[in-house]
Amino acid sequence: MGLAKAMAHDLMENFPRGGTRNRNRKRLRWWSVCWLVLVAGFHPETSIAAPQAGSFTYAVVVTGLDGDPEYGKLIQAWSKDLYSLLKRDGIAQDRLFWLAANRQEGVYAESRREQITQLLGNLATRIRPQDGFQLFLIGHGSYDGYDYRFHIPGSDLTASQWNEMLGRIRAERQIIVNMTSSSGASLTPWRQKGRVVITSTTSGRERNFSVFPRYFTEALQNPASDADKNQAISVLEAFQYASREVTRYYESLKRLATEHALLEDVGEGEGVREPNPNNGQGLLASATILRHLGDSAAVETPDTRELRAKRRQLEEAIEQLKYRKASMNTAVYQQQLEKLLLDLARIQQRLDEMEETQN
Amino acid sequence: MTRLWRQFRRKHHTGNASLFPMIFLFALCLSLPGPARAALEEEKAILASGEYEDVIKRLEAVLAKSPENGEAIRMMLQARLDVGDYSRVLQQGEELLQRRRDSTIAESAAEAAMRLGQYDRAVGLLEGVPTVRADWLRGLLAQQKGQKQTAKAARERIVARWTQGPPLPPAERGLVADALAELGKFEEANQLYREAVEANPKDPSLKAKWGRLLLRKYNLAESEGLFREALELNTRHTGALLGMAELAASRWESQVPGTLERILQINPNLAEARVMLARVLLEHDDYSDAATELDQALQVNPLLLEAWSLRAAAEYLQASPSAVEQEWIPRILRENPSYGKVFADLGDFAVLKRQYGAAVEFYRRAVQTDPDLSQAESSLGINLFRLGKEEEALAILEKAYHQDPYNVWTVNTLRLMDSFRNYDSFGTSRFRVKLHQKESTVLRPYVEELLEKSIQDLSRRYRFVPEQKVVFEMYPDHEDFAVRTLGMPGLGALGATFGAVVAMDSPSARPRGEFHWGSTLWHELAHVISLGITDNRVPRWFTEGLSVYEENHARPGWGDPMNGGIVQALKRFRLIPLAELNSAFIRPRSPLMVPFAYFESGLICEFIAEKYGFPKILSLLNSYQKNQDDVAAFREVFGLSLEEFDKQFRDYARQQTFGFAKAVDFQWAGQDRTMEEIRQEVAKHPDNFFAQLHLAQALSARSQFEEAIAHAQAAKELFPPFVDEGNPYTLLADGYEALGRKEKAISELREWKEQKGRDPETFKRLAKLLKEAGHLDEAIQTLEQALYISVFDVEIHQWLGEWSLENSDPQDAIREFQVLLALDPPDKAEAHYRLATAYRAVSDGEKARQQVLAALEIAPGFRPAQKLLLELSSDKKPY
Repeated sequence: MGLAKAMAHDLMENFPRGGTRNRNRKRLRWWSVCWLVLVAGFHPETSIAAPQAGSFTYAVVVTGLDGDPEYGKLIQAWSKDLYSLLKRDGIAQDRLFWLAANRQEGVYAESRREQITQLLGNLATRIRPQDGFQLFLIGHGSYDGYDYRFHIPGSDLTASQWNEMLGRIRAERQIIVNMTSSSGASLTPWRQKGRVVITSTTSGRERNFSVFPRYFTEALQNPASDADKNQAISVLEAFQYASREVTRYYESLKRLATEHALLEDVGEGEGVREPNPNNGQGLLASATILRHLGDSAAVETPDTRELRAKRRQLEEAIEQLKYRKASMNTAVYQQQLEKLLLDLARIQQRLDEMEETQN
Repeated sequence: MTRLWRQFRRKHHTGNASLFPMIFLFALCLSLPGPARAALEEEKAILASGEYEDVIKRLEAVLAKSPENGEAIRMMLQARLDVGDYSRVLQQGEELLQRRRDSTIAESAAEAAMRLGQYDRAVGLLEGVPTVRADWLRGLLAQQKGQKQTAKAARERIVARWTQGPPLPPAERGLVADALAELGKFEEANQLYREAVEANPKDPSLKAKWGRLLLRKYNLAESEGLFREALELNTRHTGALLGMAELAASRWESQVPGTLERILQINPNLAEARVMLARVLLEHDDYSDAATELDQALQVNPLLLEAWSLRAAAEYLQASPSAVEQEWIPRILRENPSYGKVFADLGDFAVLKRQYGAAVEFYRRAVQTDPDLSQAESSLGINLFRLGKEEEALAILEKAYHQDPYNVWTVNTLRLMDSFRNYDSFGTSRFRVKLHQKESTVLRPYVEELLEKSIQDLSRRYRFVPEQKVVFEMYPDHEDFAVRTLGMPGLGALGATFGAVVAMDSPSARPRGEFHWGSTLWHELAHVISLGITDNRVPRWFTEGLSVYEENHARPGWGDPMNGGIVQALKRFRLIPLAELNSAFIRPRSPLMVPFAYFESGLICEFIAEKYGFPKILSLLNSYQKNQDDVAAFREVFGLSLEEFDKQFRDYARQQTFGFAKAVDFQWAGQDRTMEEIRQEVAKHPDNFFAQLHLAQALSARSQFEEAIAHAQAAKELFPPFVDEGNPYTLLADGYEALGRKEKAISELREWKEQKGRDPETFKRLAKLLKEAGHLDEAIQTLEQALYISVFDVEIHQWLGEWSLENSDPQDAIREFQVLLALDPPDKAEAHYRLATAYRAVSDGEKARQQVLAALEIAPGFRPAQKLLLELSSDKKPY
């Protein structure tokens, strides 16, 4: 597991930002990293990818003003669900904060500018580089052509003001999910290296109420969002699940979609609707786990260590084969894939048997 | 003054010496003393504003004092033409022409003669008159007699005068534009109208004519704008009013007769208005009034071919083919051998009566008789398409497109045909099916199964099997369906049947939960039967009624619920008499009327089946097949007049609609009252459905379930068909679930479903409750029913797949997981794995292996799939 982490870290550090490396190499690295990170498994307390020993995750949920009562009910319900999920997932009480416009059980403070500033100021002193930091905004936002505003009781907070506060947080792995209307306008000011930024709209001009938080929260509860079945829901998987379901929602109502979510995790891109190796987005998001579904790691012995190393080799071979799929004869591809998958299944079977015996 | 000078200059340049007296006349006008000119300016203004009777009186006074006042004479003739006093214009014009040569007088007299059908006399009056208007009239006269070359030559002369001569005044530019349009040069005509209107924006006639051109070229919005502008200048302008009537008729709006009657009050002899009114009356099967209108039109112009043509149509509608073929068609063609429009009219009425085969034959004859009838060519193509003859239709429509590329029906239909490359086509034993590629995998299993079941069931009960395979098409874009049906977008219906061709919205064309596509499919298939039995002679109300009746009886919970709109219509219209039911479909008086007409027609069929027995429905169909109308058919089958039948039906309808939904008071529909107000109302009027319902909702929100249940129960009993959001059934289920009485909750939701509830989430809730209670078969059945409302629901397919496996029904599970994968589910690896297990259950190892590999390709570490792969490979060697 340690090796996997190290390799993942190494590959992420070397992930190309610009166009200086050739595209094939970029694709290969992207997928290679994914499998390595995903097979590694994570402890709930270390749910940001590649954290160092003794690191903690801090999470802040901020619920803005209700607007119409109809929206208010939804905003509050989604926020509460998200807060409960994070709490259930093991983020300690003193590192999980929910600020909301309306007082209710679980709310740490009112989501006024002063309270938010104070909390983030405190966290800036507590959070260390090796810790993880997550921020979720739910409610209404707006964009006046110059700056994004998050609507909270009292004075609103602009994207620039948020940026100033977030800039003091030293965590090297950050997730910021802005699920408000017009949130697309906050993506550029907030992007930075080591930070995954998700916005529920493509630009500030998508001003309608956003249903993205409903599906983002649902993604964290629904094991179906764990597309690769590694018992962990990554930020990328949650984003993909929510985006797909938002599309389905508008299609089912025969309404033109008024929101298109973006993800940016390179720190210098525009944000994309479909992160993939070709556009270079999604690597950090795929390596960053939001929710762990399975059991924690098993006990390691020399035998299991050897088997796991072989498993990693096979997994890498499968990823490389998949990468070459387009250029291969289908029958040959299927044959090789089946062989590798069978080998992998046999190793897993053996590992399961060994772990069972140990337990 | 400038205009007169230009006229002079233009005429002078023509070098025609006969115009000399006119120059004198204009000079005379110019030399009139000031007060006289001022007086005529006033008359001109009155004439322009449409006060025709007033201006005629004033001009009579002017002419009594100055009988040779040329301007007054011309205005008088124009005013009399405007009010349809054609005989007097002709007489007066001819008298004046004996005393002087005046081209304007000759033109007015010729126009009057033309409108009276005295074509030769009109031609004589125009002899030697070299004006643009004279040529314009010559064109019209030649057209009336079918002399196409002469008409064309006259119009070409007009255009040549415009292109080669000096500038023309705006009114004459309008005539040039009209000539250009007749020559097929529509863009130039449009441009010229624009210029003419810019030059004289106060001329309502120019605007009305331009509007008519735009209407002819399917630009309805701008034509309406021009008609309105013209009517702002002259509220009684018959040209603009006629345009508005044509516009309304093209939209099948109900105000057409009113507008036409207004025109006829201004000009009782305006043949176009009479003929249009007769057409509308024929559309409503009002043959007697239509005949009266046509008689009146023919009294004015006995040679009016448009009126003769409608006479032929009336005979056709009244099942007198010999009168059509042996009397009217020969008579019309003798007068004008290229008058193909009679066949086009017959084709249009045949379409209205859904006689598509007959319509195609009429349209064929129309274009054979007059190859320039591009609209008939287009209609021929569209109706061939409706008969399922796609290849021939395509060739014809392409020809129609070359003739008139502006025809929206042609263009829309061709575009739709082009899009067919994106459709999957396949055959079943009795159908040729077309589904869009993007949803074909999902829809096919359910559509195929339901099509076969419906046709088998209907054929057995109606003892009729369609001779040919039925064409069945589903459109994911509602506008494509509308184009398939009407050639135009904007249709409100969900499905349409043309004999053996059925087109309908695909489930994806409508918001989820709003559209029961299974019920609609069954409805359309019932049309195939009723149209087929009667050779498409069944009246609209009866075929719709039967289809509604059939969908209501197809499966429990199918058919449309009696919703708020129906109750509102019941309260407003009560019942539509049977004799008027057809009209409610064709030209409804209110948007509420169409769905209500469906509802009432269905209820009538229900009544017949209940009171007289289903065989009487077959007898009625038999009567219609013999071409009997409603009166004769009801007399033959029931021995009743329509009024007597209405009387019998009324009591039944009242009973079936909960005393015309007495308990539903829409004043209480809104949720804007306080709890106290609602409580007071319930105490005072316990039979107020909405008050009971709102009270139950409020109590449920406060978790006072026992009390909420009592009021929800009361609401349910007062008006059981209410199944929309906030209905009593779900309130009751909420209450019972909260109180731990799950079986009662299930029972309420079952009832909701039977009452035609449509919300897919409630279906899912019921299915889940049923499964939890151990009723797995019924739970599966409930989900299967939900598919007819929400077939693209990932969760429903996933549950159905899993539950079918659980229920030892792997074949159904295979179908469901295949569909699930086509829906791009969030958890694809899981879906492949489940499909693999289903294949394994039916011992299809190869397919199981393929699916498990697909699952592992996505998620190589997916443990259950790994285990299955090992089992399938029978390779359990230790590593």
